[in-house]
Amino acid sequence: MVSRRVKDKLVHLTFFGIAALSVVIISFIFIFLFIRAYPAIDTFGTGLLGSEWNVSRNKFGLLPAMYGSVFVAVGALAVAVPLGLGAAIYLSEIAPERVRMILKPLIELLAGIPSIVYGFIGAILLGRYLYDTFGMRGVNSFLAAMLVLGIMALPIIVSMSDDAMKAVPKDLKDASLALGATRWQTIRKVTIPAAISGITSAVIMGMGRAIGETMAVMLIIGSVMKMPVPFFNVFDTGNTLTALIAVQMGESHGIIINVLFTAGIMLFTIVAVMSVISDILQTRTTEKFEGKR
Amino acid sequence: MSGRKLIALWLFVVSVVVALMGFWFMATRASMDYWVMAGSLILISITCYLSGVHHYLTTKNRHGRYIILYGSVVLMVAGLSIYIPDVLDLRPWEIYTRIPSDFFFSFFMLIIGILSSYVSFRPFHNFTKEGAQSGAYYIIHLSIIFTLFPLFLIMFNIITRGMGGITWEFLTEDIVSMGEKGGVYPAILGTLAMISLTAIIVLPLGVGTAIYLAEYARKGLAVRVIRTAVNILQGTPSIVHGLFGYAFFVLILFNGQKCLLAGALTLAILTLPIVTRSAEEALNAVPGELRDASLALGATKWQTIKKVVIPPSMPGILTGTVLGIGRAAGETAPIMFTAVYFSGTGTPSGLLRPIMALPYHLLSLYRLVGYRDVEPQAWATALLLLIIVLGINLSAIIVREKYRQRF
Repeated sequence: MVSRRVKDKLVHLTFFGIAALSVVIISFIFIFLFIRAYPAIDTFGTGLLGSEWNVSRNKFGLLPAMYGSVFVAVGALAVAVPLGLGAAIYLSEIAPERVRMILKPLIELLAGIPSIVYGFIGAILLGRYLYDTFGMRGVNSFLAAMLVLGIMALPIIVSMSDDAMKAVPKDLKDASLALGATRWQTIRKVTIPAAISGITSAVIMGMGRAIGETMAVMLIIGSVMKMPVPFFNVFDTGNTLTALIAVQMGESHGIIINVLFTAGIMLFTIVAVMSVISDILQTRTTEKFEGKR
Repeated sequence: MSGRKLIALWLFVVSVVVALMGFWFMATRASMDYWVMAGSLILISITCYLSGVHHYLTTKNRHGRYIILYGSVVLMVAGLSIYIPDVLDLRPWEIYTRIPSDFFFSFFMLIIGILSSYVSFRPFHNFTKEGAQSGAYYIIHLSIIFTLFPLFLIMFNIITRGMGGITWEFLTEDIVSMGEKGGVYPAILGTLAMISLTAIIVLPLGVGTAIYLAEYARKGLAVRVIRTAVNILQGTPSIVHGLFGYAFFVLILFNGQKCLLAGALTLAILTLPIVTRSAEEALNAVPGELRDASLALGATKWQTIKKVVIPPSMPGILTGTVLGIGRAAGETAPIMFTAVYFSGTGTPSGLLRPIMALPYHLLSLYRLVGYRDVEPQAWATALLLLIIVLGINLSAIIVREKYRQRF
């Protein structure tokens, strides 16, 4: 018969073991991606950062896909940030409690729509609309991807910025109102500056989501391994790291698979750095208003 | 109502009508005459002038000059637009696109309409700070509408286009001739089997992590590392999970065989941070006094957690798990290399056998659109997937709203 103290200690250890699993998983992801990527890194070295992707000439430069990922994410943010901020201000500062109770779950529902459905709708409806309107060469384009990704990044930006603005203490706002400022002046001069690190964190998370999004992008980006010409041409087709992996994994073998794992490592690293930055910013907000925990 | 307010109201109404017309023309790609746009813009700018002049005449102060300036800009846009060619051909700049003048005209109507309706709040409130507030609130209301608009658009299209395809045959038969006929029965069962297995795997792990973080953890390096790991895991792109599942589960654990278990394990990793976060939130919501009371009665920490902390946080924990499962049900990237085939697997027949799943089915059907007559089937699959995923999420959200504020 084990004593209660020993049993309690064992339970403690078990839970620590389970919690440590997350750390193990992260390291496993990195290690196993690296093992599969190593042959490509070994063979091509910095050639993987080049701009030419040509299977027959054995050139596997990932630059076009990296550029595509960033380009699409920036475009998506240009759509999502202004709209998302407006919506977040509405939810946290203006909406009556009853309206908020309905709208917040609705926006979460928007986040729940599977990305393959976004991609399907984007390709069939938006892609065809843009094709018909602008006489493009095909239904795929950066523009369509940016619009769809912007809509997909919206819920995360709205809900995180809403949380950030809700966290601003009411005393600050009341003080501003008592000085005779209007509610809008208070929002602009008090609430938003106070919540700015939380809002930034929301924008970074939205960007991470846009860079990491796969299925929606792969159906509308065109998956052509080249830079857009000229580089800001939103009507051109291109590729992103995610779409490259998703499309090529099924069709390729040999060293290309290893190249794709290298792309996976790049993606993982970029997004991991972004979540760490976003996390630090968010902790800073909570510490600012609630004191260190 | 004073003349000033009447003019401002008129400006608002005209602008909104112009914006709606612009939106309508853009949506339907109606052919547009230059004079339709120019006429509406000139009307707006005349109203702006009227408002500014009226303000000056009645109050003798010069706040109205900005609205006159704005009216002139609108007039300029209207005038200069006549130089837009019928089709703006961008091909000389290697941009393979031709933008028709119709698009510019409707686009200008939309943008100028929204701007002018925003501007109209200033004269309405006699150029005071209340005017600035109403204008800003107006724009904020517009942005919440535009945020929700895609949701309704997506729902509307999927429901109207997918309804027809959902028949008894579609729900109960296997796929026939590359998806042109037959149904998605094995894919429905596959998805259900996979998410149930995912839930069984992830629930103990997620709740365990949450219990450690909420109940045992003290400040320290280990806790910081675990928290960071959970956050990174939450942000990790689903395609990276797919690659990892392929490299580790499929290639190393299961000898290169795609299978149900490999897919469920991959999805469990994907949902782990979601479950952990909401479970931790639920545990943290239990007041400390309850724990103290239990400990003071001589219960051990584990007894306290088991008997006092977990029961009231159960709804929160389950909500988080269900939300995670909803996410897992719609994911394609993590399972496409680890568990699924388009056809030929039949209904799920074992943990180590591959399956079909709805999200991957939709992807495969989309790839066949244009080669085979599968678009109705694809819409029906999208609708079915949406019903399953949103049904799961909705039930979780309802439970959460119901059990919110217990303490």
